Amino acid sequence: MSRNFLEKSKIYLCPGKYCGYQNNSTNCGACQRGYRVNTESICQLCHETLSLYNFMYIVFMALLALSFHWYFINRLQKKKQREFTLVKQTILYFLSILEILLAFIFTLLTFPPIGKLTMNVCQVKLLSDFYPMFHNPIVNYRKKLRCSYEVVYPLQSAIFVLYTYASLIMLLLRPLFVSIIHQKFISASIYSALHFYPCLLILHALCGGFIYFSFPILTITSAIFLNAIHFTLIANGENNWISFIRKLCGNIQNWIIYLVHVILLLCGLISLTQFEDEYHLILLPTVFLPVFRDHLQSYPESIVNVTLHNVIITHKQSDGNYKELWIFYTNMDAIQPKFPMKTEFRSQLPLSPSMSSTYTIIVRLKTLETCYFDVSVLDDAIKLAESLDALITYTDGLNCDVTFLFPFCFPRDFEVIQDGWTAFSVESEFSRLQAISDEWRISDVNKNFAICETYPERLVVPKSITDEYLKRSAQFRSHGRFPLLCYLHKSSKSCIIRCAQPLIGSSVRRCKEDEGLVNAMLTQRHKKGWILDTRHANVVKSAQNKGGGCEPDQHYALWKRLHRHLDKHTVLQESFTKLMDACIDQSEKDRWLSKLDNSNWLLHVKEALTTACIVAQTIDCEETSVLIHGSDGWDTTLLVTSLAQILLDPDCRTITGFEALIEREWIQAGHPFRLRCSRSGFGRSTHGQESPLFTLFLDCTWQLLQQFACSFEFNDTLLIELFQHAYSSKFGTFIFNNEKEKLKYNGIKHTVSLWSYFNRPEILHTFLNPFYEPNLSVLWPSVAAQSIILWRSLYLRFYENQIPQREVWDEYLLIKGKEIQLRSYVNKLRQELLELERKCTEKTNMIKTEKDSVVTI
Amino acid sequence: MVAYFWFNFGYNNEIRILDDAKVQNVRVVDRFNNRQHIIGTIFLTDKHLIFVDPEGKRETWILHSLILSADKLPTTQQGCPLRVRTKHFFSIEFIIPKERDCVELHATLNQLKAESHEKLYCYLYQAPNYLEKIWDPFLLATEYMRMGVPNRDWKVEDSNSNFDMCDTYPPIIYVPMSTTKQMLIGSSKFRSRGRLPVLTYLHPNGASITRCSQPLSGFSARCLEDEQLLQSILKTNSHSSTMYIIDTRPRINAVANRAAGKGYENEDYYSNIQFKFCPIENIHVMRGSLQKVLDACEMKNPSMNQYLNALDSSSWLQHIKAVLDAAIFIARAIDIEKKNVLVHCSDGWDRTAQCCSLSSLLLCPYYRSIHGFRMLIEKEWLSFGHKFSDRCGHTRTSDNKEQSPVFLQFVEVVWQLTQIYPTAFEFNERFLISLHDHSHSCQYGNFVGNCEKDRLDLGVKERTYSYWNYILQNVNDFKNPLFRPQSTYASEVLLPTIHSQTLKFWMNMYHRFDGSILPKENIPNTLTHLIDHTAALNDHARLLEKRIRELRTILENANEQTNHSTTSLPEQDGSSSETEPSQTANKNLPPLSLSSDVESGINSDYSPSDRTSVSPPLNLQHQSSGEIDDIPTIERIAFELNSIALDWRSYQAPLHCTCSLPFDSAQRKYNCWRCGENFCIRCIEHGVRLPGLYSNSLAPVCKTCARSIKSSLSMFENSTPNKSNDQKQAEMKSSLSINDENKI
Repeated sequence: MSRNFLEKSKIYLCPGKYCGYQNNSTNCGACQRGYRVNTESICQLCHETLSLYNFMYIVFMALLALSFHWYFINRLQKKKQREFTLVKQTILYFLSILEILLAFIFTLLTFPPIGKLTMNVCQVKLLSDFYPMFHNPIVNYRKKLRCSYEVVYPLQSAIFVLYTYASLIMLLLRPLFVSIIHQKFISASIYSALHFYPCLLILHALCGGFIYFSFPILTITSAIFLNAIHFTLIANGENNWISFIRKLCGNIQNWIIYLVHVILLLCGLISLTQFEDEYHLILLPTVFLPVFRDHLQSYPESIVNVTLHNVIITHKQSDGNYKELWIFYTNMDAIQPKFPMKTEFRSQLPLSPSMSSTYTIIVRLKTLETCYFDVSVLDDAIKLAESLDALITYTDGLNCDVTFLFPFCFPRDFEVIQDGWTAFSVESEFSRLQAISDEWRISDVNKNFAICETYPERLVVPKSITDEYLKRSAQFRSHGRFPLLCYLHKSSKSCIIRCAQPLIGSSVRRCKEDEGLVNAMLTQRHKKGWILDTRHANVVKSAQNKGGGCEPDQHYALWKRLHRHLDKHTVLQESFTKLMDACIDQSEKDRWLSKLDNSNWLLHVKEALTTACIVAQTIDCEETSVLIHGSDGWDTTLLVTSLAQILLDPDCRTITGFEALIEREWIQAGHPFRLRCSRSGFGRSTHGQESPLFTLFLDCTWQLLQQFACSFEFNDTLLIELFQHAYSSKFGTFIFNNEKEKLKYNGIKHTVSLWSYFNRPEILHTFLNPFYEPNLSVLWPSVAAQSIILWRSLYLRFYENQIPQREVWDEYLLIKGKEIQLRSYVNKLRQELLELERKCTEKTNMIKTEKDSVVTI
Repeated sequence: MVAYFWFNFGYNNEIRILDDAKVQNVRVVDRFNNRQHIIGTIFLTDKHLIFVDPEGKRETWILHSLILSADKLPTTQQGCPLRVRTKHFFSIEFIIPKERDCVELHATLNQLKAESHEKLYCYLYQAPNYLEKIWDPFLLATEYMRMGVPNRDWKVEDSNSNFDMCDTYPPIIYVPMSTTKQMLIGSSKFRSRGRLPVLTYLHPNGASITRCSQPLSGFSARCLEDEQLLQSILKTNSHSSTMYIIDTRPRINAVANRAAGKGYENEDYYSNIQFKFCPIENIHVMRGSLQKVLDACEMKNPSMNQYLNALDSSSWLQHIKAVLDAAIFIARAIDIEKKNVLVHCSDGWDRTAQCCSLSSLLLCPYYRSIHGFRMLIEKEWLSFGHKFSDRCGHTRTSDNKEQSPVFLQFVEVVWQLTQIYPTAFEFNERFLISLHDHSHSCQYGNFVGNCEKDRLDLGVKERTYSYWNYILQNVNDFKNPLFRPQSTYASEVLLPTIHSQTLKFWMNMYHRFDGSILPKENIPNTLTHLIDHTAALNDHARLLEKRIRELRTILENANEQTNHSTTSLPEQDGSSSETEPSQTANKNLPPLSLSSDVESGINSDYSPSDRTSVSPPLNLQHQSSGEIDDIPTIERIAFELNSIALDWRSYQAPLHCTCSLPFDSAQRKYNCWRCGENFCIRCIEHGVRLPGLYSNSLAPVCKTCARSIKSSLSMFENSTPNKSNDQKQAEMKSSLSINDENKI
């Protein structure tokens, strides 16, 4: 991965892992002590603070020496039991602790920064860092470049220094002690120590790397084993608990040994937690004071925190308050480091962290935003970029564990009014259907996803067809996606059916059950239907050789075939990438329109809309049913069926109707959202499964919204929100590939539905179109090239000033609100006036009668 | 579908059909649907070409002065096609069965184009009565006064009062205080066509825009007077020691002009100047570019790529961006750098006019109002001599090479700005389109002629109507409902950042007659509808409030009266006898008011029983109370309520007007204030006084409602003889005025 960055920054590199350019020199070679080669092949001063793990490593080495000390002290006691009293023994123990502790402190003081209880260390990345001599490169197979130096500075030398100090201090203290108490035999402990120190040093020199990477486990296992051995030794044949405990407690020596073991165990545990989970992907948790900016604003003095699920950017606002911005890794599309590095500047680089030129990391988000981090320290920048890149790869669609994603840890922070998981059930859809026609039933044939993994468990099927038929039909269709009703038109009773391609193969197999099922869906009135294949006839032919194909005319006599090619997968993804390239390109020279043209995106929009219009026309005007499939029936098929429904069904143009449509036609129909949305307009595809089909659907919907501004209950905010949530969300709606997966990971319990979030008054309010007037007719949009326009409010929303547009929206609401208010006010006035009028009339009548009476008198 | 007619161009004039100018069985080709043809008849009048289809549903009116070209295409099987293109981007293809007819029609059409300025449409045009031949005088001096000129830096110079110094400049010009007459004359001789540097805009911070034409510098010529003049311009601004000279041509063009003895200022001769080129292409490139845009628009069923490619290759949006960039550069220099800017191009009347007016528009919020925008056009375009007649090709004799969409570009840039800042402008898209169309149509005298001198010679002000008068009379149609005078964008200097992505293609301008392409439902139309409805309701609410107040006082008085009924007996007695006849007369009323009630669908809770019980004592109370001069009788109130519709028919719903004219989104629909239905402009009568309105303003009402209002008003008058005298008179007056209106 780091190689990636090197290629990007285009620098001539030193060969070998540990060779680098020294400061102010042009020769490749070993770095000085205290320097470590970085990814740019430059020796860079190690100035990282001592991490806990490194610290624990030194502690471990010190403890190792200490334990040897104690072992030998212990042996002394066994030899000379009488003369070696407990007090002397304890003093000796503490003396050894003191020696090691002093040596430890001196060691920390010795290494830079000198005089402080810490060290500057180089980062240890690999085991090989401890053994650079095995990695010397041979340039052109001739000359061996010697680049052995202390890569892991100062972890290697620190241990030597530590032991040297320890033995020196011991040689100072112990003879003093011996001379005070005049017992010669104690000097044996000095001799043994002088014996084991060199042994330890050799051990460290040879196996330092192994110890470094394994010491936590070593410590834990050894602590446990030693403790067990210690206990057995104490017990020594005792079978009674009480006497064992008395023996244990009675001896202070046992206490101490036990304590040491516990400390060892703790050390091991603490060190081990460093290697937890994804933390190893995060190389630099916090970067201070970079400039964070997007297209329109820049926020100096930000703090960037890299956490488990997102990057938190805290920046100071103009009013002095701090504002946090969270960016999910799932939302990051591509990291593009832009380091102003040229060969001639390289020699000056390492020593100038305060240099004015900054290193920019461009983070392109899936929601099409672009963020810039201007970091002033090269190493920070590289680490930040590398961690982000690693995290993005980790959260990728294919190899990522879904439960790691943020929706699984997102605590619901709002009151759910209507639970989105249960809001759109098959039953409610079925009851709607029941009102139009009673020829359908709900089947449990797919219980436990037995016959189709990508369909929901309960399905609406024709009444006249048994489950056995469905099973047979499923075997005949790709991925078991047998023909399924998706829309029944109210007036003509013709329906839209979707499925996957039939597996006819080159031998043109047939399946009577499938034919029966398909024919059962035809309306009684028009015993004819259309089969719309969203692939080109040539594509169908090549699919037939692979076992797929399209329904042959001879077996499906009641159906006519139509091919409308709609691009998907790589072609569509490429088109989207090109579109975004064109949108973010701010250079003057290139012609924007020709770039837009080159992207072909609008062409895809036009094609999708045209196909949907054809379907709508067939359903509404010709009153015949349409069966739609592509190859798998979960990509372009869904695009066509859902768009056709928006055209045909006024219910789909309301907010809940639109949500139901997405739930029904996209989520439950098994559009693999996680695969399709793992990359957006900037990222490079990793598995070829990415495809902005849902975006295309939203774009087409927007085109309709734009042509029929008053027929939709929602505005484009809803569409933009849906786009954002499809790519990166804290909700569980769009993170599964199909219903089965949702059940498998128990998504309903662990995550929150997006619809629960949307369907609250305060959120819903922002989606309302003030000009909505229910339009019960079928929409006939213009699909001429001139009418298809770019969705600026999505693709360019971060590159244009949106404040005037927001003002416009406020003004809309104001005007509409005023009209409604005035209307009701006038109504009220009129009623009041009539009321008054009536009163007046009564009064005058009264007066009249009164007057009449007067007159008669 | 084809668009049918454009509402601005007075259809209601007396129509004189020319002899033999009627061609039958003409087919009109639908651009978007080759199979569907409309068969109808072409009529020719002295002003219009009219196409009527057999059911009389669709009428296409084309003004002769708007016709850009009538081309005879090669004969086909069906007949002889004749394509008519207009200057407002309407294109229609007639297929005429007989070739002879076609040839004749073609020849007549070409003849009907005015051959001289004297024959232009503005001299023939008979405006509706509410327009009068009054020219609200535009005084350049007042506009300069608004900017605070003359002041201690700038003075008025009237040396051009006889157009002898420069015939394309206005009679008075504004120059720095320190200039002398000699300097001005010297400079004007050094500048192309005598267009010397004069002030056009002064920013509150003291920086100014001056405009001129290119110097006749050639390779080495210099003029001391001109250099002095520039120095004195520089000295008017104390904030900066340098000034910009902006040449709006591309560098190559400027250098090429040098060879012809013209060129640009030599930086060695002029001290303290910063010279900059803002490359805007010349009129010929622009003309070609527009032609390509129109070709792109006229493509039959293009694929997405073809269409985008055609738009791209026209470079139209790039030219628009170049103009906008130049304007923004000038605005920045003025507002941020506080430097004086001198702008010129070749002759200083095309690109200079564009840049100066646009940068003024960016800098000064005043110019973003309708009135201010008028001032801007009068000042920068009309006074300083943009050659409207030549650029728009008003007459048959005008040179094709001189035509260029310079003004259109300016209008489009303004439109682009309104798209970026929708709340900052007081006028709407319709205003801009109308402005463009009338610069071509010659319906009003404003845009006739090439400069002030021409218009003076042609006697435009005496003999024609003023466009601004027309705008002011219909100002509601041209107001931007989103305009927010208090918003930051409306009150500040606008300095947008423009990328090529920012600019949109102006569908409503170039595609406005392709109804099938444009959005079926659009928000601006709905907004106008809402605004109109709000206005109607507001007015009505005020009347209702007044009536309620009146009734309340009456009720209170009645209460008092019943309390003291014995004391006030004689008074009552007398008046009651007076009211007797009215009671009987009123009994005739209910059926009528009932029927009108059903028509307009007014509130049903208004029960008929209330209506039949007439209340003469109300009048009586009223008379005794004395203070209130208006008498709200029950019929009157019912009548008033009937005259205003509470709910209006949705803007989207009807596809046809009652006159069976199909609506499309380019057309303005009018709601009848009385019945709330949608009507086209022909079926609506402006200027009816509705009794349900508080203010005496004129309301648009459909013809049926206007008739019923009139009749019921007269009925109402007959039935209420007990009205006070002056009120009767007022009623009479108003009904008279209504009659007047109806005659129109």
